[in-house]
Amino acid sequence: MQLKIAHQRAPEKVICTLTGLESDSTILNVKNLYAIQKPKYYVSRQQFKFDPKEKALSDNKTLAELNITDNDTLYFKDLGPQIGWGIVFFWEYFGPLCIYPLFFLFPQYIYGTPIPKHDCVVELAAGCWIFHYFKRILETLFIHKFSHGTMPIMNLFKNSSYYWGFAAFIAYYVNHPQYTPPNFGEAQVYTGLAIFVFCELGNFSIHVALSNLRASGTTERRIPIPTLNPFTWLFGLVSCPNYSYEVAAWFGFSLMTQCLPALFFTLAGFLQMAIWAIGKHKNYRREFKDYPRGRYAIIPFLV
Amino acid sequence: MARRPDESHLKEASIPDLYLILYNCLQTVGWIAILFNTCLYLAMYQGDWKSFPGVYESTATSLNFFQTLAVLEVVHIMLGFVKSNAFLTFMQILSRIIIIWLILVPVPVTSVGPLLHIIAWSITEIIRYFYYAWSRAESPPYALLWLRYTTFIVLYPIGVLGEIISIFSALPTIKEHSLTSLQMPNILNWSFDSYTFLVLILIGYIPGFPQLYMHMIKQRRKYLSPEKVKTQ
Ligand SMILES: NC(=O)c1ccc[n+]([C@@H]2O[C@H](COP(=O)([O-])OP(=O)(O)OC[C@H]3O[C@@H](n4cnc5c(N)ncnc54)[C@H](OP(=O)(O)O)[C@@H]3O)[C@@H](O)[C@H]2O)c1
Repeated sequence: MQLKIAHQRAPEKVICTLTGLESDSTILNVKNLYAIQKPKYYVSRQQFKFDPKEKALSDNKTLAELNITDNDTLYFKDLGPQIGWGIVFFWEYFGPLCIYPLFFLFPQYIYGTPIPKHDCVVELAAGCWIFHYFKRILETLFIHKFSHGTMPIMNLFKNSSYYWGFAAFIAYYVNHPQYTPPNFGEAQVYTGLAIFVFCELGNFSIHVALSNLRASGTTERRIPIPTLNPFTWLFGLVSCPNYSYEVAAWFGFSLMTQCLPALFFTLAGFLQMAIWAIGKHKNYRREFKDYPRGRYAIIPFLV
Repeated sequence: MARRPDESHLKEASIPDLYLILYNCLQTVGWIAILFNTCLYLAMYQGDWKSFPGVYESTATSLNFFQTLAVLEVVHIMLGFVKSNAFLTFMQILSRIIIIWLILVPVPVTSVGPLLHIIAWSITEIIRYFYYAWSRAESPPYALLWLRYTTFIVLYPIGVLGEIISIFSALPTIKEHSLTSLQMPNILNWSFDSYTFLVLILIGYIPGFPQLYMHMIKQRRKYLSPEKVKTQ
């Protein structure tokens, strides 16, 4: 059978026709054929839709499963140049891991005055920061099982400027020679630290649980459920507890350092993750008829 | 699947719909009041045509209130009540909030700037909110749709011009008195220099203005294209 391909933006104009497909050919086969005709658009750069306004078709579905028949039209979208996920994650986390310690270790070059002895909370903060980004790099390398191989290359620049920029912004103030320690002293520092550590453990536990949901090499998506690890019980209340823990961890960091830029980072992260969580939550409910009712997206009982 | 044209008539009003109709009506009324105050000011005005002292003061409370309330629009998008780009909306609202709280509130600006952008903002907003309120209930008449996607062609550049004049004319006062600035050390562990910040905002207009203007032109093409109008 043959399929017509049109561009999503100009649905009436057929760009090319693909021949030699069978009803058990998959979307991946379609992409491979298209890549032969248009070598510029390698497979991971392509996206196909059956209706320009509907969701993208997934690679492993066959034409028969999707009710696509001879002479139908598929709509092509160029996702732009692609880059591996691992590379993006590595650079976006490696930046903060290097930038923050520069402010901590070499204040004389940045502020013009050496700092003989940092306040205890400043040392703790540097420890938390390095721990977090080291953890994220290790998780990316050894725990996450991503379903996409690549993402648009622009993400590398967007994500890196976000993380690198905030790293410098926060490090500048926390390591400042005129840094003011928290108003409520040790009580505030240790409460913040406890929240941070607790939530980092929670975030890690959720990442492990998500990874265990998926058999290696597959991209299937299942309903996440609480496991024996008490940190994962938050799955009973929200769909994306890793985001809840991440936001709460940064809130703990902000409380501990009493630094407004850290709170800005927490808020920006919260806004971004709330948008993603609401999207994922909707997808879960759409995809699984038996998705547990009563779960929220990111904040228990609220959002 | 193509959306059936009669679908909007069958749709039952949901709680978010009712809320949004209320919100948009409230904003429409608010901006009508702002425009009214400004016109009243102009009617009584007897000074020269270069500076309009007190134009902002003539409508300060309502302008501060309704423009700051618009932050809710980012929340609406995040809650999924409205489909739009949260980031672009945030940037648009933020720039106006900066003008109000960092310029108009602390500095008595005497230039044509505030008059220009207050008039441009209020006309745009009256049309926009009225359109949104109506479209939540049913398809608004073509005239309103046309106004919504046409008036920006002149009003948007006038507004931006006014904003830039306002910022420029306030900069010397802000620099001289270090207005709204925060220096280390302080308990927030943050520093802020209004002057530098506003200069950065001014630079931000260079890429920002064309981008938003082109975005609106695209929207105009999308909503006012002949085939769209036929299904109305
Ligand atoms: N500070 C900040 O501003 C900020 C912002 C965003 C994220 N983060 C951090 O980055 C972490 C990762 O972010 P993310 O957006 O990639 O998280 P995510 O979408 O929740 O995904 C985490 C991993 O779990 C997989 N996964 C998710 N749901 C699954 C399911 N139902 N079944 C099987 N596997 C599933 C994902 O695979 P897929 O490839 O299929 O999605 C991915 O490999 C967050 O948890 C947070 O700690 C920080």
